[in-house]
Amino acid sequence: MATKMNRRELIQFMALAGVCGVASPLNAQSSSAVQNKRMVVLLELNGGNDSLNSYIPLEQEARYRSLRPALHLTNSERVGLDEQIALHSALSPLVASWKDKDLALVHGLGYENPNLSHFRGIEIWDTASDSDSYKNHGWLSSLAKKHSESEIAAIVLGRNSGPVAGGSGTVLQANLLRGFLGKSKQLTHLDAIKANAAYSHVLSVQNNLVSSVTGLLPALRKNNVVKTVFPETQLGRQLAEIAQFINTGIHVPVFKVALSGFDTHRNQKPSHERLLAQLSSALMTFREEMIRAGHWDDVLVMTYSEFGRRPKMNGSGGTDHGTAASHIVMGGRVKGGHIGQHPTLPEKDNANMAFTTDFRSLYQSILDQWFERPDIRLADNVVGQLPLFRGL
Amino acid sequence: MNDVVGVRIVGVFSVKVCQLRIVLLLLVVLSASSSFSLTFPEARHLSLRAGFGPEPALTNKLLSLPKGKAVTYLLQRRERDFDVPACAQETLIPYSKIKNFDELELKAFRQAQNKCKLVLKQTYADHLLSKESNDVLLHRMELFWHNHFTSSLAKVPYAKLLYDQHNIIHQHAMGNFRVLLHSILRDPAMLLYLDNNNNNKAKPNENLARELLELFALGVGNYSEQDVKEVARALTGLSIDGESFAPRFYPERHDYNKKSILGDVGYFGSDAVLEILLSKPDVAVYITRALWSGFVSKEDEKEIARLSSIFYQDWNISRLLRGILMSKAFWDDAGRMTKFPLELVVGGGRLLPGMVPSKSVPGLVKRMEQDIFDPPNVKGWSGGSDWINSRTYIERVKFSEQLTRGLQPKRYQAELTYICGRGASELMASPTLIEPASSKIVDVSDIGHNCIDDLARVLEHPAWQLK
Repeated sequence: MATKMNRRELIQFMALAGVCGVASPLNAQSSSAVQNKRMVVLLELNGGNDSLNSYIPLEQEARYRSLRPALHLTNSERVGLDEQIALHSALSPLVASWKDKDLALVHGLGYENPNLSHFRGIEIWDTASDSDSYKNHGWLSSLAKKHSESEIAAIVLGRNSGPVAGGSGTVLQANLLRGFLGKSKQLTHLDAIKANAAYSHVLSVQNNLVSSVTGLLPALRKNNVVKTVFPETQLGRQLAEIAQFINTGIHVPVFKVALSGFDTHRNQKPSHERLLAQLSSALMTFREEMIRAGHWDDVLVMTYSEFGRRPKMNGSGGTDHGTAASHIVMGGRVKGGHIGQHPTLPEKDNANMAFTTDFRSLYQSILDQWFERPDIRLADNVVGQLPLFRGL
Repeated sequence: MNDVVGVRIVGVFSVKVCQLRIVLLLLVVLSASSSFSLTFPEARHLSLRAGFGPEPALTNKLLSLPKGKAVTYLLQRRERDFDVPACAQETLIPYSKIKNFDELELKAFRQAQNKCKLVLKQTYADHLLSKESNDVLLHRMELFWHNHFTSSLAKVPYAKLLYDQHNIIHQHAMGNFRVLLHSILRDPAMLLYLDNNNNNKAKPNENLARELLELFALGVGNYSEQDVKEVARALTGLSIDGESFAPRFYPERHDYNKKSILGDVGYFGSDAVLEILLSKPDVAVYITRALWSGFVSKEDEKEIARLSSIFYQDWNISRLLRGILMSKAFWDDAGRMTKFPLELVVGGGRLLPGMVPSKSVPGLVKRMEQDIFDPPNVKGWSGGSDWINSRTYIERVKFSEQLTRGLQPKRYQAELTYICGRGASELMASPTLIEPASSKIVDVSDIGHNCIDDLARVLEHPAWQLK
């Protein structure tokens, strides 16, 4: 029988051919005058994070409890942040970042006419489109064009390359790039491919532009580059790999990782706690490493999700799809604190929260201020002036 | 099913009969093997090539039928076409009015047109995805003929005209090729797309004539440049009415002189040109080959020759399809073709109804380089392995990832039971290309995240791109 790809090690390696053909991999310092060396790490919370149980609006405690009699976080399940917000206790590692003032919480992120389907919801967030219009490019895809023409525009570890897809830069996607080399050698010798031209073509595309990544591998294999010990979760390993790239001077403006499982319709408490613990642990380790290595000032981390969840709990100990949500923005140059208003919990029982910050103003702020690319406009009526940064 | 055959033979042998009768019986059994119902791999293969994949209801139906009857079932038409979207009629404004539009009105008009074209694409996608819309082979044949008799929404000014063209194709897709050809040549969208409205005796325009010969009917190498010119002359005057957009012949623009086309000489108009073409066995071969290639990865010259000579008799598309779908080459071909974008998306959307919003489909497949009703040029999409390049592969995998995003086990209990009952890898054209599930999902009443994880693994595997 032909060698098969081990399920756990399944690597999907895809590369978008750059306009100039095969990308030459590692010009860490590009000659482009416009480029700044800042990076963003997108952390997708796949499924729709329940931000109400992640960041509790203390001023609405009574209503919060009445909406979630069996699901609200008790005092022992939360940890204080300030008078406005308490954190889910699994997020308590974040308190250190809050105290150091490099953690911002952006509240009420959403948009008009929210769509409550996963499929469409994530499309909207990834392409920054209006609710009823359809765009074909990720919101960060045109960042690639000027930023790194013949270089790697983005590295996506895990699922969903949406925010960077459709541009003309080179995007690499895999679960972990480190494991790629071994797999690629195996794949070229599968008996199955020899008999099936269609299949061998698919595989060759999948393995395409290996030469463009070959240059990355020495960097990946260097030892002792990342000194902090990361958690042994998939997220931990992926953030460790990103830290490795950054520490070896590979300049890629966009990194993306995803944590799955947030679609907590049933019995939310245990799984939500587990996920938030993974999130905070891996994220704070990454922060620690970036600070240690001296890159934290050039790194911005943000979480996002296709939607928040329903304020009122459902009958299965969980929550259904919602709308507005709070998200984390963290980095060496981030101005810590609250941004925007937490939405008012609805009066009508099964209603959703109204957004108070258009998520595209967050994106536009990142484009305008962080990447200094005000030429990339996401929508007509959206400005990028959130007070997210200091000392840029 | 093969077990059943074995049991029957054994049962026969247990009775004392003379050797000759045994041999005869064996022969009868073996020759009647085609009267046994399809196996699951066969039903799957048929559904992948003649439908949009092994969705539960279709598969169960096919499993109950022997090959011939399964093909008959697929060739039947049970359903209506989708209704024209309301905006299409609203935006059908006569040329005479548009001529007098000022800049603002023109801009508004164009925006309305573009909006309606998108609605048309979405409506079509919705139709393909719908649970009420199960004439899957018909849909595939519509897509095939759309890619053969190409026109494009980018060039044709009105969505309504493309809808009307689609309707013609819908009516004749599995009917009579002669009728289809004649109808298409009269079709306003086609006439506009290939500039025949500008084809007049003073200044002939060869576009339609050339494509008719090169792409629609004969194929390169079977005609001369002079033939193209003569056919163009024969097609002069065939245009549309600027008010009603109905096809209209303008005698004053027509070249009434003698033409010499493919060896025939006479005072030919458009109908005559088509009849000349339909008298050529080369046309039957060309169309047969085109259809064959839509269903089988490798051309079998003998089969194509055999089927085309039958096709030439009366241009019966349905019979030709049956011939292809009953051929040995077809049945031996599992897993050797590449799904085109609409097939990948609609296949996923029909397997898990409700997961793919029809409004997202046009953008999705456009990113995979198949814009609905909008092929890149008159040649249509080249297809095959060309569908997969670095850029489209990312999109295709991303789509597959999205398909299982937030998939709720309760809502999809029936589908997941069907999928994981057999093992998700069994949905693939070539299941041997992927490892089977690491843990067998034994209790189907406990369908949950193991099943979804396994399904995701299968959908994201490169071999999922094959049919």
